[in-house]
Amino acid sequence: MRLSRALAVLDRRIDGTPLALCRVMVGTAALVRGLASYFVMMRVLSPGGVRAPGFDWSPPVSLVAAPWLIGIWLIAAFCFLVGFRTRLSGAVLAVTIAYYLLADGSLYASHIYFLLLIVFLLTVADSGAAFSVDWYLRGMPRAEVAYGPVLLLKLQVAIVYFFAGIAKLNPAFLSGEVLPENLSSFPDAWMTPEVAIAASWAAMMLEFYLVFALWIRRLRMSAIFFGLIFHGLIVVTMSFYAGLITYSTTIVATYWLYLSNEEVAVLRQRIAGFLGSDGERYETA
Amino acid sequence: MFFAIYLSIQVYLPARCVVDGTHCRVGWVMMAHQLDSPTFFVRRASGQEVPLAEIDPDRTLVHVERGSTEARFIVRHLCEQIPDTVAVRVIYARPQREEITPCD
Repeated sequence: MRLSRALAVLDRRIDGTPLALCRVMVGTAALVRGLASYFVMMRVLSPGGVRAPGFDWSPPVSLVAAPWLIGIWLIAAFCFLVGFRTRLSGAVLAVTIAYYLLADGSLYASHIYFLLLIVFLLTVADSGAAFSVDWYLRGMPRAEVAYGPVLLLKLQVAIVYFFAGIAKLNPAFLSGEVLPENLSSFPDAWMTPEVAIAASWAAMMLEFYLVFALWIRRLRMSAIFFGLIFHGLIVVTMSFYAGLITYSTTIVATYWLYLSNEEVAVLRQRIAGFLGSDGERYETA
Repeated sequence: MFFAIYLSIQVYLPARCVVDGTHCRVGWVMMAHQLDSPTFFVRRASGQEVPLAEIDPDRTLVHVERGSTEARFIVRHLCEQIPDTVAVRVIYARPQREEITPCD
């Protein structure tokens, strides 16, 4: 009985608007990361680049193949962003990113793995159901998606925040020794030991706060506010590096999924108005 | 079914990293630990030992992408790329230790 009730929750249909907004932001992040990955690949695959094959079965990659791989990545990312053949482009994008990650350990980065997981889940979740080229070609019908994959996306983000918080529970980080090493754009004069300790504790506590606050209606707006500041500061203070932009954009993109039905309804009407379509067709189910 | 399998994997992998206490790639560590940039010394057939920074000051022979590459791969690369190398000594800062790896 409980199982069937749980399954009913996962099958429940919800508005596809937040998922569409998430897809657009993640598609943009994938485009940025794809461009940056081209230059990373060129460096790693050059004669001086240190190769680090992850597995015996790692897929082959070469300087000749690199532009093709990245070309497929960029085309798939663009199609995913605009929602053209969204499921196919999402699948191709996910496979391309997975290939890139498995090809060599020197190409691996946590934020690319995170991007891969989110692209995969957005593909499964039918994120092209609303505000996409596919949706436009279908005559802009009322767009609803199953709640199960959306819940998985939200849980995935909670898992990342939770384990990122756990990883920070170490003496070196909490004593402020680690953060200054990473804050390359932060003025040295301001980085006193007290500031380093306070910032380290704040980062750790905020990640734990975001694990649950995004789910609680009363705390959600504060969580989104602090999350946006946190991820903005990561980019500004650490370095304006494509990896950090990708990570911050991808994780912030999922914040749309936490909005309430009422907030989504307002959002949908505004987007529909902007696109010049009939907002009446998008009444909440 | 998909929901349960996906969630189990995504919880298990980072949890395993925490339990093992290792710096796993799928552990969502996110710059939570100090960077350990080891120092490399190339041992020549003559017995002379030269710091890598002296051999390759412009990093044209050895390019490591954002420090994400394990030292063992850099050692192998040095053996392959720098002629007359018989072994590589690596000094780690955290925790302090050193390793000497002969080139095959």
